[in-house]
Amino acid sequence: MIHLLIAWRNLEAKPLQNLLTVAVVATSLAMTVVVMLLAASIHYGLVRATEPFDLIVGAKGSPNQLVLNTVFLQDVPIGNIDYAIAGELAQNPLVASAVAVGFGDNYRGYRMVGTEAALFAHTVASGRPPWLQVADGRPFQNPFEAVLGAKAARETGLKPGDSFVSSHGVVAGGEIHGDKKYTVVGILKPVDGPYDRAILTSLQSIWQAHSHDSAPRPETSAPSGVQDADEDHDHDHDHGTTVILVKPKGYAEAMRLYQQFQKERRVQMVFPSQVVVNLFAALGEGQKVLNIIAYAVFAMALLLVSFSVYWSALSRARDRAVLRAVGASQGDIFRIILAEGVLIVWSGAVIGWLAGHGVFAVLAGFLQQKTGILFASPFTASEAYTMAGALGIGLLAAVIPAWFTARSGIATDLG
Amino acid sequence: MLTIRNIRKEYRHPNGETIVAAAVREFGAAQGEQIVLAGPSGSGKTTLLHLIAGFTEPTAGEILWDGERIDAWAGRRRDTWRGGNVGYIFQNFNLLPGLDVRENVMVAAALGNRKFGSEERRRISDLLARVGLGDRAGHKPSQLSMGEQQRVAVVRALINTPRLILADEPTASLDRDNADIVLGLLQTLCREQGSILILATHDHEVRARFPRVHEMTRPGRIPA
Repeated sequence: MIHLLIAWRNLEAKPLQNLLTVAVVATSLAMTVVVMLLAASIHYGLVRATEPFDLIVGAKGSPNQLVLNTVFLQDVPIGNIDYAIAGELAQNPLVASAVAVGFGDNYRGYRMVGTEAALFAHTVASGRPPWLQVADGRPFQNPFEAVLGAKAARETGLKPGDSFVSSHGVVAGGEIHGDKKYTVVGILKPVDGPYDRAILTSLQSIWQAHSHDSAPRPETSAPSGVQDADEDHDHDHDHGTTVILVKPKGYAEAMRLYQQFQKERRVQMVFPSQVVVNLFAALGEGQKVLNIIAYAVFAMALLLVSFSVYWSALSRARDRAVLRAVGASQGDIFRIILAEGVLIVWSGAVIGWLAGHGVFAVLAGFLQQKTGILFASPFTASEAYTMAGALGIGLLAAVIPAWFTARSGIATDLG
Repeated sequence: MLTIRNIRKEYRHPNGETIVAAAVREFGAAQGEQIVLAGPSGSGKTTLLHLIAGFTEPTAGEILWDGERIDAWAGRRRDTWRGGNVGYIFQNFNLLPGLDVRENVMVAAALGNRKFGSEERRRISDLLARVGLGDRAGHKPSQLSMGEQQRVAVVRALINTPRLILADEPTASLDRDNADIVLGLLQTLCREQGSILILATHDHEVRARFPRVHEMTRPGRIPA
């Protein structure tokens, strides 16, 4: 206890120098923690968002684009596929269910998702409750009835009984389908994913909305993918859809189905989770570089602590000699200087850890708002190892100056 | 009982000369004795006090405490002995500037005596009151006068009831009134505790207050 008191008083004597050292340690650790948490939560959020999507069938093109559009409601659709394929898939003995989903319209930037009532029975895994559940109202039954995701409802202020008109394209600002009004019939429970920002309606609604369009569309009303798909509206839109969500009967069936679709010329089939893992592996290289930078900064911070404690101890050689004169042993001096270093490093580490979580919470909130993906901060083993390592190496950074300064002679230091 | 025989402390100067910092043929102190080490600057008074306290080791000779050669002890044993048996007072007080008055004394109690409880707390308060600093316990050394700082140093040296008090020119930085107060307190408290008091000074008025004087002379240099 007395060692801690002396160490604390020594630190108090040089508040600016010591606070700066604590700040350097805290900043470097906060950087490490933020990088780590972002990586873990992005991975967790992306993987979790793909859980309801076992297999996706869509137009030929980029699998990343297909997954980004279908799972995360980002980017633009590749193009339309024949709706009849959904029927073919439903008949396939390897398939438990096949639900068509069409994109292309939005309401104030919230994507209209044309689909089938079967989507409300879709489960993430057998035995679990349906993925999408209506919290208020009922599922859509007739054309131009809409069910809003929890966030879409909250942010637009729409409630059951209200009506709205959609606009063309996947971003706000497109041509308004003014002749067809949607009526809100239900609000979904939150799913903590991109579909909280979706507006579900029947595929027929989307088809009908487009079949009556006659005015020329501005070039900017929708990204090229949708535009290309929509150029065929007057011919095949009532038989077209953007993707088909396929639930295989089991793992083996999924693999066989995937093999079958490798030869398919009309469409592609992807495992969204695999696409996300590949995407994350590419991002992982960047994360490694950021981690190395953060660790290097932390190592430099610890070196600074070591030198700071050492020079501070050297500047108090006389005080140290006085302590020895009144009865302190070399071990006592070692413990006092060690306590100084440990107080600096550990308080820096704790502040850094808290700051890291604080910065992460702000960033996660922003990203969640922007993408709808849940950015939780799971306490990972690597974070625990980093903290333990920081505290352990911090102890070592304090041991070195403590060891050297504790060994000096009393008479020499008394001058 | 302290006994010193044929003790020398030498340093090697870079030019090859050997500097004899202190040389004492025979010196002894019985329990309760109060002795002045007198002599001019450079006569080795401080070095002798450092040798007795175990701050440094003699080049030759013996230092015995109750018949045991303390100069031959390992550092840790000497630290323990010093903490329990020696109180040291410096000319320039050497209070720890970051600690308040009570904490300065408390450090000596906790590190020297290896225990600190309610009894030690009470003793600190009693001794501070005794030297007239009962109401200054929470003050930092910089808030005290030099005389008050030296009184705190006296309390710090006496807190563990050591058998040996070593005082190195304790009144040299004080005016006459404060010097008298500090010296009076030191001698009285040492007498009450039965401690040996060895005080180094070149002040004739101070040496006149001691019943026994040990004269030190400049030991000189030995050419290379």
